[in-house]
Amino acid sequence: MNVAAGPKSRGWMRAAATRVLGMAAATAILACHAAPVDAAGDVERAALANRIGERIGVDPGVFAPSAEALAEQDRLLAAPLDDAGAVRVALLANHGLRAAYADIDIAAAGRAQAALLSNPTLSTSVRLFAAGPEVEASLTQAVLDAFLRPLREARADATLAGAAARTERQVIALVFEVRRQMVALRAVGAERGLRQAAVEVAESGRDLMRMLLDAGNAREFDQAMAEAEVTRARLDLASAELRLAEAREDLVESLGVWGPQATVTVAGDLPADAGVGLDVEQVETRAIRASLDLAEGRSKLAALLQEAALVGIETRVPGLRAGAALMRDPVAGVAIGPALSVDLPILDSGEARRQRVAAMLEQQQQRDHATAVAVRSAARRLRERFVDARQRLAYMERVAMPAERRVVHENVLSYNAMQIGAFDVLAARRREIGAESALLRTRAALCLTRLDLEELLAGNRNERRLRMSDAMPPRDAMDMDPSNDTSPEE
Amino acid sequence: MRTTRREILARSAAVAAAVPWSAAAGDESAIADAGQIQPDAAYRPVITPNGATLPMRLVDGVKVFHLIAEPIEHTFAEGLTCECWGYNGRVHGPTIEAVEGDHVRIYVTNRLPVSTTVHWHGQAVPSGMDGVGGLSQRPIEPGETFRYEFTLPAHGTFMYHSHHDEMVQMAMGLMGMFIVHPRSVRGPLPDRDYVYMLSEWAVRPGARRPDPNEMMDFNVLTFNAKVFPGTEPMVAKVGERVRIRIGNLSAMDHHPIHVHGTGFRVVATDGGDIPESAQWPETSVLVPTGTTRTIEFTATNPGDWAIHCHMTHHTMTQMGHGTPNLTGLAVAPFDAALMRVVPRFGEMNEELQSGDGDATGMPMNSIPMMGGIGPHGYITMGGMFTMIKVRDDLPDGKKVGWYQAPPGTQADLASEADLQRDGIET
Repeated sequence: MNVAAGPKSRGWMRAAATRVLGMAAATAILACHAAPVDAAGDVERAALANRIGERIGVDPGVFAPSAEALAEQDRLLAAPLDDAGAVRVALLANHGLRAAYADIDIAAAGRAQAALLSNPTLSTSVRLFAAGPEVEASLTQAVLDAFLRPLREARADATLAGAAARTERQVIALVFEVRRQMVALRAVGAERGLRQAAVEVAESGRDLMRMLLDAGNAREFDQAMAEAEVTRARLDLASAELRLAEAREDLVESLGVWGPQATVTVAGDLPADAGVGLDVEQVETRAIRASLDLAEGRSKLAALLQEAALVGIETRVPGLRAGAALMRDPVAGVAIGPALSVDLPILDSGEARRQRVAAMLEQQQQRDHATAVAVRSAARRLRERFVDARQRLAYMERVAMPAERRVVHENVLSYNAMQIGAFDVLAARRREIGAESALLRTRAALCLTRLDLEELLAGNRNERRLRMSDAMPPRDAMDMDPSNDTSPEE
Repeated sequence: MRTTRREILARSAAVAAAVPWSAAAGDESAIADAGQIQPDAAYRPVITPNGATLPMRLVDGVKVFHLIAEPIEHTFAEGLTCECWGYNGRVHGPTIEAVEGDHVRIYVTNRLPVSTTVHWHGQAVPSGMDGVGGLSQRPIEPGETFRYEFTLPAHGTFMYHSHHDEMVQMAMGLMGMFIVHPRSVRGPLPDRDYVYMLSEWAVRPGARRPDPNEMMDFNVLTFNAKVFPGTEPMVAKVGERVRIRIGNLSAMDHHPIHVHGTGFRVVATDGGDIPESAQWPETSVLVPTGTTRTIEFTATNPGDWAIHCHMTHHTMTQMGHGTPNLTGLAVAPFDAALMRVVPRFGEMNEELQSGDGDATGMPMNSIPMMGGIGPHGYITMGGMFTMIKVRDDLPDGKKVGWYQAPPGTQADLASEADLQRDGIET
C-alpha cells in the first residue's frame, strides 16, 4: 500500500518505515546466526555413537572413514576375522550404512533450515514518464515467521531424533546381521567338515569292498552299492561347499568389501556357552523400553504434533507480510511509508490441511500401538525360541550324543568280537556323523536365536528373522536341499 | 532265587557220603579220582567233568534224591556268565547215579518263577511218573515239591530234563544225566567212566541270558555246560579202559563227537547195550539230539588228545555270521581303514595297548570265538572242545600238565637236509 502525505504525516511515515527497515535488518542478522548444517550433523552423530556404544558395546565409527580407519580395515581383513573384527569392518566399509548416516545429515539440514526466517521480498517497478521515471519499491517480510520458528525448530528436532533412531536401528541391524553371518559361516564350515568325514567313511567302505571283490569274496553288486554311497557323499560335500560359499558371500556383502578383500576367512568355532549369560526375564518390558522402532514412532508423532500446531496457526492466521515501501514520483518526489500485505482465506480456509495432519496423527498413533504389540510378540516369540534351543542343545549334548557315541562304541566292541563286519562299523560312524550334524545345527540355532533376542533387546525388531518357521538356522543358510538332511532318524 | 554253592554243600553235608564225589570240578587238570567200586553192585562211579553227582540218601532201602530246580548264574568259561536255570546250584543238573533195580524216590522242588516237571528220558517208568506236563502229571508250580518214585527197570545211560515248556526250559539248561549201572557186572569194568551232556545255547555277546527263541543260530555249544577253554579235561593212564557216555539234549543239532588218538567202539545207546558182535568201530560217533551214545576204548596212545564235535562251527563260541568273508585278505587294512575314519576305533586300540582300566575291546560278558593257550601256542578251538590226557603214569593228587612229545614224535619245521633227501621242492 502506497501512501502520499503532508509534511507532518511524511515525518511519521518516514519514522515508521525506518523502524520496519531496522527490524528487517535485525531479523536478517539473527537469521544468519542459525546453527550451521554441518555442526548439527556432527553433534547428532557423536550422540548416536554414544548411544550405540551403550546399547551394544560397539563403537560404530559414525564419522567419515579416515586414513587410519581404512588402514585398520585392511589390517583386520588381512587375518582371520573374529566377531569384533567383522563388526568393525562392516561399520567402516558398509556403504549402505554410510547412506543411512546421511539420513542424519538430511535431518540436520532440515533442523538448520527450520531455524531460519524466510527471506524478505524486495519488489520494484519503474515507469518512464516524459517527466522522468516513476519508481516504486517495497521491502516486506513475513510477520509470523519469527513467531512460528520455535514450532518449526521443534518439528525439525523431532524429525532429527527420528532419523537418529532410524539410523541407530540400522547400525544395530547391521551389527547383528554380521554376527549372525559369522555364526552361519562357522556352522556351515563345520558342516562341510562333517560332510568331508562322511566322504572319507564312504571311500573307506568302497576301498574295502574293492579289496573283497578283488579277492573274489564280494559281488559286483556289493561294489556298485559302495560306489553309489561314495557318489552320494560327494554330492553332499559339494552342496556343503556351495552353502559355504553362499554364507561367505552373505558376510562379504554385509562387510561391504570387494576384490581381493572379499576372500575373508573366519577365526574360531561356534561358542560353547551361547546358552549362558543371557537374562530372559521380563523381555517384553525390556524390549519395549529399548525399542528404536517405538522411538522413531514417538519422534514422528512429536513432529506431527508440531506440524499440527504449525498448520493450525498458518491456516487460521492469514499470511501477513509487513515492510516498507518507497515511491518516487517525477513530480511529487520521493515518498516512504509502511507496506502491508495479507492473504484472504476466502477460497481456502485451511480446513483440509488441518484434517490431513489430524489424520496423520491418528495414523501414527495406531502405528505406534501396532508396533508395541509387535515388539511384545517378538519378545515372547524369541524368548521361547531361545529357551527351547538352549534346552534342546543341552539334551543333545548330555543325552543324545552320548547315546550315539555309545552306539559306535558298542559297534566297535562287536567288531572286535567278530560279530559284525567293518561295513557295519562304518555305517555306525555314518550315523554318528549325522548326529553330529544335528548337534551342530542345534548349536548354531542357539547362537542365532540368542543374537535375535539380543538384537530385539538392543532396540531393533528384525521382521525377517521373526518369520523363521522354527528355531533352527535358516534352511537357505545351512541346507539348501532338505533331502540332504542326515539326521539320526535316517 | 539263587542258591550258592555254600548252601548246597551245607544241605548235602547231612547226607551219607557213600557216593564219592568226582574230583574238584573246575580244576581242569586235576586228577580225577577213579572212585571205589561200590559193594551193592559192581560199578565204577562216573565222573562228570565240570559237574558233580547228586548226593543220595538211603531211607528204608529206597535211594532218595532231591533235585531243586532254580535260577542259577552259570559261567560257561571265564568271561561268559549267564542267568540260566539248573538244578541244585548247577548247570546242568548233577548226574543221578543208581543201580538197575533200585527203587528211587526223587523229590523235585521248584524254585523257578514258572511251573516245571522232570522227565526221565529213556527210562520205562510208570506213566504217571514220566514227567510230561499236562499228560503225565500236573506241572509243579513255583514253590511246590513233587515226589517221583519208581524202580529203575534197566541199566544204561539216560538223561533227565524238564518236559514242561521244553523249548524254553531246556534252552535255559534244565537237564542232566542219569546213569543206571547194571545190577551185576557185565564184562570188565571201565577204569574211567566219564559222562558228558551236550547242549547248545544262543547267547548274544553282551547279553546275560540265553535266548530260547533261537531255532537255528546257536552260538554257545557245550560239553557239560562248558565251552573250551572252560572244559575240564579227562585223564587216563595208558592201558586203562575208558568209557565215555555222551547224551545230547541240544535243541536242534546232532553232534558228531570225534576222538583223537584212538579208535573206539560204540557200545551202547540209551536203548540199551549193543551186543559185542554188533558194536561198531568209530573215531567219531554221531549223537543225535535226544539220544545217548556210549563209547569205550583202551587208552594206549599217550598224549593230549582232542575230543570235539566235528561240526566246525560248533567249536567256535559266540561266532558272528554277519561279517564279510576275509579269507585271502589281511585284517590289517580293515583295521587301518576303521582307525582312519572311526575315531572311537582308534581310541579303543590305544586304550587296549596302554592297558587302561578294564577295557577289553569286546562286548561285556562275551569271550573270544576260540582259544586257550596250549603248549605250542594258541589252540584255535572253542565251544564243544575238550581233551583227554593219556599218560603212562598218573601220580595221585598231582596235576597233569601238557604232554611232552618224545624226540622224533613232534611235528616241526622240516630241515633242509630232510627236504633234499626226500626230494621235496618247496
